[in-house]
Amino acid sequence: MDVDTALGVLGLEPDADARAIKRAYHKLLKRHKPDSDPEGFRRLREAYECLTDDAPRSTPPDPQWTSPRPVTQRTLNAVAVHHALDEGRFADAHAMVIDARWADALLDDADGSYAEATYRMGLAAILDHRPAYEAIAAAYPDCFSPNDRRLQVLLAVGREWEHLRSTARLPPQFHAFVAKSFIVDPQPRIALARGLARWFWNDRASAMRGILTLLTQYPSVASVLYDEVRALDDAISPDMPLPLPPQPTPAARLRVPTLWTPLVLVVAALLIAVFSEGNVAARTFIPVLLVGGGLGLIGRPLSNASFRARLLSSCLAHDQPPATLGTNLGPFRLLREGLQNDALLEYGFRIGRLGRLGLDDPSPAQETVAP
Amino acid sequence: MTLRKDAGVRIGIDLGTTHSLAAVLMNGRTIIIPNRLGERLTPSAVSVDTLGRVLVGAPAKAREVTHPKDTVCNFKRDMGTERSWNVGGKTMRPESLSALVLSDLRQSVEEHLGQPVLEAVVTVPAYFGEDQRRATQAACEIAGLHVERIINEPTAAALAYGFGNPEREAKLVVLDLGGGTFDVSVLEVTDGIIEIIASAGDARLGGEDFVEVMMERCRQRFLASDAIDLGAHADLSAKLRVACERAKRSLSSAERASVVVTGVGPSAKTLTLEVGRDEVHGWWAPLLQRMQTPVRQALKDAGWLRGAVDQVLLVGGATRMPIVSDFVASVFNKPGVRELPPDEAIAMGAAVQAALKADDAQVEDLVVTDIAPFSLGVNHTTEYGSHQVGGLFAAILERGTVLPASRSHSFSTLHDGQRMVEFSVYQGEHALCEHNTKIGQYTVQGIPPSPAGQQVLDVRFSYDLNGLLEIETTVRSTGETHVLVLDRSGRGMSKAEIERARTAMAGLKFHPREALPNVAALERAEAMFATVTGEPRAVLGEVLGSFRACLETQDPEVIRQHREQLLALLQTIRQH
Repeated sequence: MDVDTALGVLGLEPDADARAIKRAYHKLLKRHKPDSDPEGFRRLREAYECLTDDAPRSTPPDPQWTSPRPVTQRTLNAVAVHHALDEGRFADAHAMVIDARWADALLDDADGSYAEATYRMGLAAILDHRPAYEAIAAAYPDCFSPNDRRLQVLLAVGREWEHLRSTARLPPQFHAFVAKSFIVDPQPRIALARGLARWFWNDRASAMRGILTLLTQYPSVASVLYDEVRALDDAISPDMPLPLPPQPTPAARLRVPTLWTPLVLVVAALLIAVFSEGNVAARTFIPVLLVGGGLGLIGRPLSNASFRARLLSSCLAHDQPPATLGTNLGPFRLLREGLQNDALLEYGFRIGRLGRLGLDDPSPAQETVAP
Repeated sequence: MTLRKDAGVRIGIDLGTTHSLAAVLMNGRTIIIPNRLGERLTPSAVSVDTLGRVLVGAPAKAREVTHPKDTVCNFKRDMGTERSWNVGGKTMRPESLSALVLSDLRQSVEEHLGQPVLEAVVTVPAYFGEDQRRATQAACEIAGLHVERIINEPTAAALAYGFGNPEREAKLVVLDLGGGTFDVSVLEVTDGIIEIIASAGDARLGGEDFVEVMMERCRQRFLASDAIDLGAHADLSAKLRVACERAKRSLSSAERASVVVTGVGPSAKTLTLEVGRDEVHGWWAPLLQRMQTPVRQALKDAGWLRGAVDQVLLVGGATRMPIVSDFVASVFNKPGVRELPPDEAIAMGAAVQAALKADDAQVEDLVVTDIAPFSLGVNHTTEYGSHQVGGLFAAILERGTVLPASRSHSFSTLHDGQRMVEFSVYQGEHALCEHNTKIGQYTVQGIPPSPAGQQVLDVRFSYDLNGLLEIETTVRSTGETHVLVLDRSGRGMSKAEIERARTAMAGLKFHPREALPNVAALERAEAMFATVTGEPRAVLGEVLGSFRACLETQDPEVIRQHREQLLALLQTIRQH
């Protein structure tokens, strides 16, 4: 039923407010009682629901807990719950929410609905290593109507998460990041990507491999992740919903272990030590080589751009080109990474970046033919 | 409009766990119809005496102490289950037992008003599922009552309230703690319009549970102090039950009460246990904890905060317990109101509903809208990422939907070339079908083969106030429609079973109704005799003996005098 019909059934003008709608509904109810005139009542009720679903409940509440709001005890409670989640004390947060007072607080906070608050808590519970079904069934049986999309997402996320945890070994801090992201943005794909991006930002060396492993499981996350990483790299926007972890030192940021370069340096140092026979120049050179080799053994510097290029390759490999893909990658970087990845190379040509280097597209223009 | 003599009456029946009663709306007032004994409440109890004759109501309830094996009470709690009892050599299901109570009520009404019962509205706890409602419907059919409408108890209470306060505007919560069930309904009353907004409950929590907790604790105490296990024998445990019930009742007014069990063991020992109110309230704390859940859920469903509630209406005999009042006060920050007699409000509301259904002029300005207490839906499979998640419940008509209503949902095919879809219809709130109650199934065939996800089926659920569920499934591409109608009478006990139960009931021997006051007095005196000690017992024994003797004379006037003397004595003993 559309709004015009509904207004007609209730005999109202389009500018009727919630009170007028209710009054008209009540007046007509006496004429169309559910007992004596079920058809008439059904139509009346449909009209009423059509109008009220739009009218009084339409102001979208702000889901961000950082939004300005008078500080009350309830707000403080909500903050306390979030704080516990921030620190990874899931069990505490969980207990707080089970307690009605805290649930009320979250109710204020999350969209004004218990279902929403519970949904987020459910996600947190799942990420806190609770088996998905158990967590939801035990703690939140009565919070959802069964075809609430969120509940189905919860169940699905629960399964995905179990699957993920069993296949990829992830550090505990990652759980915290993702959990928190889920709470702020309950869309699993985005939340997961945000969690990954923050993990990456916090500790690149450990995040790299985890992320690349994850991408094979979660191809659809790649494009969002790409944007997220870019956003974090390019500028830390002031309205970013999450408090960022402390800026890591450059050395810690860009290291990834490789074997060949440091080995060559160490072997060279050893050879010089054996053959130089006390040469002064050689004696000063050896420690430099050794230190360089040692550092290299810990990790080879890897630039942001290079990581982004890998992400990009991953996106392309799964046929998920993100919207803003490649626009901030330099052509030389694109070429270098592209030499190991045909899809990336092809993509570089397609967006015209590699053309700027004066290279010819090796693949002839293809006509797409419908199968 | 007054009722026409030839038309008969439409009554409301509260079929309770411990008590049942009937009411009728006449001349703008709800009247509770007294039973044959002149009492407003008829205990929901059935007993069979040594001659194989069936007793219903007060005399049967009294026999719970003296003949626990031949007496059944609290059978409402097993409605909708396969359980059956062997009573005096007869196997009876809860439907048949309820039918006995219903037909007893009907006879009382017909005797009292001198008119046949045309139609009845019977109440059930809001949280009764479809199985239990079906069983109730079957009971009505066995009793030969014409019942189209089964309404929720808190809705009935709200109706009684709205009928008595037509002008009022209020946001109400009705807490209905009966003998065996607990219901919470959240509703708005505006100018004679009663809108049920949400309801929740616990179908297995009531006054009887309070007694049972008490029995268990007392049993342990007696076991520790006197080394006697009162749970070992049915008759001892029946005595303990009566003693606990009595103590529970006196704790409503007194700070301390004693649980006295007489005639224990071969030496007929008397066991006494003194309990304090605070101590007993401590025992009951877990039950109060359980009461919180439905309250919270109903408010949640309604989207109300506790402070928004104007009035909390208490219904059901068990709300007389002070602990329940304290509970209400602590949850809502305001005292609960017993505006209507708690035992009778539901029957009164049912009578109002019966009039509403007949479009009676007495209730012209009253409207009630009720909601679906459970979600109804079908099973489905969803794809998420690389996984297929099956066995999920898709609620099509969600709980809280105002009835009658019609809702639809679309589903698409899962496999390439899929030609048929099997739907199972469930009722419940769990996201997984396996935890919900299956109420039917059907198969839609003739879907044109196409790639997965291309064919769309629209499933429409229409649910009316009489519990009739119509499911219409349309294949969108062909426009072909499949219709399934599930009604209450067609499920649960089959027609043949109901017919068999009716025949069985017709074959039962009943105590002659004229003799009922005598039988009731006799059984009550016997029950009292079994539970008292000392001098009262001796006096009662004497009076009981002379009553028995005078029953032989068959002189109605003499018998009446003796009976009244006996009942007066029982009253005196009870008060001391």
